[in-house]
This record gives sequence, structure tokens and C-alpha cells, in this order.
Amino acid sequence: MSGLDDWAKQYARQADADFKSWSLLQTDGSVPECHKLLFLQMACEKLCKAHLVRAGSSPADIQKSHAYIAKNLPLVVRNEALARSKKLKGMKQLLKAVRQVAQEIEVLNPAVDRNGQRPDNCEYPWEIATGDILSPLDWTFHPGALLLAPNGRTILKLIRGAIDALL
Amino acid sequence: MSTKDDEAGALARKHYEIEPGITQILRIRRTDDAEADPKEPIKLLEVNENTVASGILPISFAANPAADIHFPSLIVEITPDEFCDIQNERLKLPDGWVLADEIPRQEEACER
Repeated sequence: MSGLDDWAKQYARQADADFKSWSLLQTDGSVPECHKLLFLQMACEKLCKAHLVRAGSSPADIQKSHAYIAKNLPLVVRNEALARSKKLKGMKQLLKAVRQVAQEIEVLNPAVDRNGQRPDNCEYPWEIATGDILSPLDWTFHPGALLLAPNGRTILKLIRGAIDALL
Repeated sequence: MSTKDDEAGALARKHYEIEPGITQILRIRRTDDAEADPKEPIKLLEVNENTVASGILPISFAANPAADIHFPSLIVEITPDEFCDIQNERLKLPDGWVLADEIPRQEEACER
């Protein structure tokens, strides 16, 4: 196994652990949505980074940013969908949904705020125009709703499958 | 088993079909003899109106013979503006890579 494959595998193991943590928390009603989604965001980020590092990105470079999900998760999900099914019908809608979900998952990380346009995140409070301070604990997150949409479950299955494929 | 060129074409056509934002797909080839090696991935540059700009960020996928994918692949997805930057040499591909033939969308219709 080459060095890059080793890095990719270890990223995938972390993604696997994050995804399993997210999955376990889903059944616990006492855990706030922001904490659940934090694990999903981390799983997706590491899954994308596993694919990037295997393609030659420097592990040190990709650790400097969290903004890899919006661009790369749709490619990862597309690859997984094509590996699982030869039927292309329905995939257009699925991939449209994935691009939406991926953008929303990416901004869950507080370091990604789209130049101040999206201060909502899973970890830290933020201030809004009225001067009020909002907490992630009280916020309704877009990915939570998007993942309950018809394609949402499929997207989650494909993310799970893409992680498995790297382990 | 299909050749790498066949599989690159088939992969690109599937991507065109399921991603309405893709305007062009081009092969990227190595300047050395490595392309003949089956372990050398199929490399596709995909110009997609629905992606976000982030420069040249290749993402790699393994071969999956069970799913009739016999070669590893590597996708570089860029915006149309970034494609202009590549053409104007403001944005460069990694050393040893060159843009090669465009895989046209029309082939999708020809096969039906």
C-alpha cells in the first residue's frame, strides 16, 4: 500500500467512526440536532478528504480547510450511485439533491460561513442583524430537513456505501 | 473487457446524462507513457455549471470490476470560468498532465 493509500484508508476509518456516531445518535431524542449533524458533517468531510488524498492532494494541505464537501461529496455520491446501479433514471434528481445537501452540510462547520452570509453552524453561537445571539441548540438546520426528503435516505445510504468502499 | 478509452467514453456519457450542469468533458492524459498502464486512472476534466470554484482538485475513485468499472478514475471538476482560466494558462494542470480529446455529449444520442 502506498503512503497516499494509507492516508486515504485512515481518513476513511475516521469517516466510518463519525458516521456510526451520527447513526447511533439518531435514535437518542435527548441529543440536540446540532450535535448529531456535527458527526455527519465530519463524516462527509473525511470521506471527501480520503478521495482527495488518494488522488494526490497533500494531507497537510487538505487539513487546513473544511470547505471540501460542497464540491466533492456530489462526485463521491455519483460514483457510488453508478457503481450500484446501471439504471440512470432518477439519478438526475438525486444528484441535484446531493448538491443542495452537500452545500448545507459544508456550512455546518463554523469555519465555512460563505463570507458571513451563513453564520449558522453546529458548534458556536452567532450574532444576527438584530443584535440577538443565536445558539446552534435552538436552530433548525437545513440538512436535517433535506435528508428527510425522498432522496435523503438514498443519499445517506450512498454516503455509507462510499465509506465502506474505502475500508 | 472494454478498453480504457471505451470505458472513459462510457463514464463521460453517463456523467453527461445524469448531471445537467456538465457542459464539457475532456480527457486528461499523462505526457509520459503511463497511460498504457491499466493502473493509471482514467482522468476526466468535467466543466460543470453547478459546481463551486476551487481550482484543480482531483478526486480519485477505485476500479470496481463487480460494477463493470475496470479502471480507476480520477475526476477534476471545474466551473466554466475555471475552464477559461485553464485555456488562458492562468490555471495549470499538475505537471505531466495535458488536456486531450473532448468527449462530446452527442455520442450519448448516437448510442440510443
